Amino acid sequence: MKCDLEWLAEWMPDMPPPEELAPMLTAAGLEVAGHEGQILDLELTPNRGDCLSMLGLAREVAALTGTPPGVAPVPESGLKPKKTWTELGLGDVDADACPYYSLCLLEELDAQAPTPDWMRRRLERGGIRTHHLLVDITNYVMLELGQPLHAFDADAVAADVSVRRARANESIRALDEAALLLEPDMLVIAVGSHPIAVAGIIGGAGSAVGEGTSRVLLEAAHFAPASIAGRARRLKLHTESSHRFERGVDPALAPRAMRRAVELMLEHAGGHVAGFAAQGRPAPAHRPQTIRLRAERLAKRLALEVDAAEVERMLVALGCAVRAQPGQWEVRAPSWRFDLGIEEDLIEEVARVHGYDRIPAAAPPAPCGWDVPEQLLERQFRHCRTRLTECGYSEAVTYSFVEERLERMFAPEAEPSRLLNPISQELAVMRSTLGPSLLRAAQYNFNRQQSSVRLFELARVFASEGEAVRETWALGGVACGLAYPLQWGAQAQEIDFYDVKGDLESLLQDWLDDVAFEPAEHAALHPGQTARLMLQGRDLGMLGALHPRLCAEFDLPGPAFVFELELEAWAGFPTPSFAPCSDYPAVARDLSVVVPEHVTAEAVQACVRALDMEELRTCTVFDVYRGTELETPYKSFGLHLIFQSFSRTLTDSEVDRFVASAAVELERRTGARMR
Amino acid sequence: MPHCDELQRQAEAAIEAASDSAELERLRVAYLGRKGAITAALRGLKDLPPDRRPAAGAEIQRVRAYVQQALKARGAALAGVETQAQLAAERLDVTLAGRRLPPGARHPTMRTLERICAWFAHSGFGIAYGPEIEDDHHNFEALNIPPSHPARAMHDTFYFGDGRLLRTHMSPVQVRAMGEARPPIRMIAPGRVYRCDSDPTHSPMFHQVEGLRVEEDVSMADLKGVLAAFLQDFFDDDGMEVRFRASYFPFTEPSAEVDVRRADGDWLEVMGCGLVHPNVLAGVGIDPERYSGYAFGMGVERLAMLQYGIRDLRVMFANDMRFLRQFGRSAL
Repeated sequence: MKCDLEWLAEWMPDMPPPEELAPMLTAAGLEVAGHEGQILDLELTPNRGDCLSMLGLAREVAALTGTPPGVAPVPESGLKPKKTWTELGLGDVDADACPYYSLCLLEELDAQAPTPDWMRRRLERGGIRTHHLLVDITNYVMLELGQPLHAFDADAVAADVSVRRARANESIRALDEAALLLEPDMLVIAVGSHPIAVAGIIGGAGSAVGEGTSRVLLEAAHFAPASIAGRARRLKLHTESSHRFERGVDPALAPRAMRRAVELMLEHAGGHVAGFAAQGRPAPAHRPQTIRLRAERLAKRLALEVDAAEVERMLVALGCAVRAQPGQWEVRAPSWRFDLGIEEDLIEEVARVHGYDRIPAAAPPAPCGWDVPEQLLERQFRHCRTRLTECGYSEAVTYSFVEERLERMFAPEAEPSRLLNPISQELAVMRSTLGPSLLRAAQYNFNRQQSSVRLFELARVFASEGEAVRETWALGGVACGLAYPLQWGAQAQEIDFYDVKGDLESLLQDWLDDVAFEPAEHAALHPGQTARLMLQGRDLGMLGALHPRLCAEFDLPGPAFVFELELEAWAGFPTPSFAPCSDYPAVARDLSVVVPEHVTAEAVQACVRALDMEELRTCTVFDVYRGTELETPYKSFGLHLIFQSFSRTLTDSEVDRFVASAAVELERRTGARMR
Repeated sequence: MPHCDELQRQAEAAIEAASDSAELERLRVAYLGRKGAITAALRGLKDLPPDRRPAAGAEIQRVRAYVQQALKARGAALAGVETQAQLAAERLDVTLAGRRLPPGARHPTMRTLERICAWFAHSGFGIAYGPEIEDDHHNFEALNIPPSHPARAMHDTFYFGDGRLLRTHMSPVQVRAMGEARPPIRMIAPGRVYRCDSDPTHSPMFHQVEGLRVEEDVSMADLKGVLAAFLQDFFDDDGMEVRFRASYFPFTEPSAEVDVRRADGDWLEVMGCGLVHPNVLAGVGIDPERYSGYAFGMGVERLAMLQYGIRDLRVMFANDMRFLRQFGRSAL
């Protein structure tokens, strides 16, 4: 809303200068977003439809400054119908949706009469395009009083006008020539079965006032907000009229606006009034229901004692009818304030006119000395962020919606949740996995000459389960490029599977005894380089190399590795429980085990562990050898075994026996032979 | 066998001339070893007449002690030289880079979100999340925003077509929290919210933190107090001016926008707040006659951008490593 201060000064001759007025309006909830010369750009909240006019702003300024408004430069009463006027016919008017409807017929208007310069100037300063004198007058009165009006070419309106709901599949060609398909909850102005306007929103092209119009049917009506709100949006329209009716136009205003517009038309286009019709009653100046405002409640909510006389003055200045009673007021809101319905609304009015800055600031709640106990989820967030940043990963924030094609590459079996109105096809479905978004982020970075990308994200993922969608917290990661920054003392090498697996092992260090990495398959991952993470038998997530066929999709410089863990599957943080350390010497032995290629390291180590040797502390694979000394389907694992007793120093022969039994078990269960 | 004095002179000269510890060791063996000259001289005592033995013995012992001392002194001197040489040879270029994997960085949005949560957690506010896919009831109706309310135009909503939608703000979490808990309630809800809007200053997804406190007689003064304290701590400026001005949200009454005054003197809008609307309380079965509450909501990206001097919203979602690495320091 543009507020023309020159115009406003006609109503409020004693108002403060703009540099004082602007902050005053902003503080009171009428935010001045810009200020250019004599024009304030107001950003009004949807509850303040009453301020969308000079009249409304004058009232508001009067209430805020405590100065009474000047004499209104326009009449305050409606037309006085004359006997010589024809009684116009009105058809049915939907009284709930349209409590008051009036039409005035003007004839012998000068179709060529120009819009006076002062009016043109005010319209332009108000941000309204000028067209034709008669239309300009309706807009002018709307800016002045806040009442949207509509002018029909009377020659195009052959019969009685009615106000009704649109019929199924009814359509109208609007003023802007667009064909609008109407819906049954939309209100139309109709002549017979033919709609000539969408009530309170836009007129029809067929009955529009044009160059040759000399007979006009002027409409001033009150449409209830509930019968207008949301309709314009559905028709993809937003008009000055719909903007006001949605928010609520003073139901008492229509007759006054009609008289003003008629006077302006007669003054600038000649002609005379030939007929008038009205149905319903304009509302009384005050809304019938009383709102009780308790002094005690006011003081408690604001933590402030406002002088009773001052409270009364403010409410009266805002247009309320106020009756003081012991300890409370009975207040009736003015017809133009749709937003005043309950006690709290009045508390806000008192607060904002009195000034929010005069409300004291109480001490904030005392810190409890001990934060609210951290929930498991927050602890997981913190743990993931700390560990992964230590491992060189940076945190990403990517959109929760992705391109359907990418989502399906990662989750081909599931039906994704599709947005009805996505921003673009690239952001069309809710993701069930973080992989594609993180790979796109990696791609973005490689396109900007980065040599290495390690990213992680903590976010919800959305898995369709029939009709429902399951939202779970996921930790996703991507790693691609150089394993270490270019360094004089280390050989440049690319990140490989075991780098990323190591990162996950660091992340899961405290659970590592219970974590298993099992060979697995995944639609988007390399079939030979994918592992499923199991934690105490629960599926914790996946780790793997991006399938080579997808590397081109993301245009990555080398193999990329992704992982994703489900936080809910990862329950609880173990509390360390002390175990004693042995003071006896540890004895190490190496064992070289030749096994067929398909035998995994885990199988070999599990076989040794299964012996349950009390003295075996660790069994580590320290070498993997494939080569000329072995036949092709075989490989050799170097095992490093450490033995230690809690009760004695182990002898060489004892340790030899342990190693021999391990060798026998390996031969028996994995087909291994010792080298 | 040379005269003792002669032996001492020879040894002294040789030890003085020794250039490294190996040479010195050779001399030690040559004089003091089992077949060394001094050892031989001691052995030769038995060939002397008994009356001369004590004096000769004493003399040889003196020379022996002298040589030992000389060897030790020369040894120490040579060790110093050799250590110096070794140290010189081992000198490193300490300006060459260390061998390491640099730690990653936190996203400024998430860092900011954590800071906000930590402040309120310290003041006794618990954390709640709520679903991101919501229904019309929780996102709108329970918040006093019936269908076709003009405030819906401020929330460009993503829909799924079956009544579900992506939450447009964190307020539905308030509704859910109040549905489960009874006053006193102190909670904050951090999370992702969605608006069907994308241009240089709007992102279709961003983060908000909402807060809620419901007790008996919670007032606007409580609201002003907690937010002013929070904002002054957040911007690390105890003297920062905080301004509350009237505004409108369907779910609070009275409502306010909160501005802070920046160093350049301009007021900047940082959050919205108000006392919880009685309809919202009544809707979740909390008696608005007995209880009142305040609620506030802030945009995390906006606060992060203000704090770190970021001008362009889009960089907050690009995940450019060159951008992220700037937030790797252990600062706030």
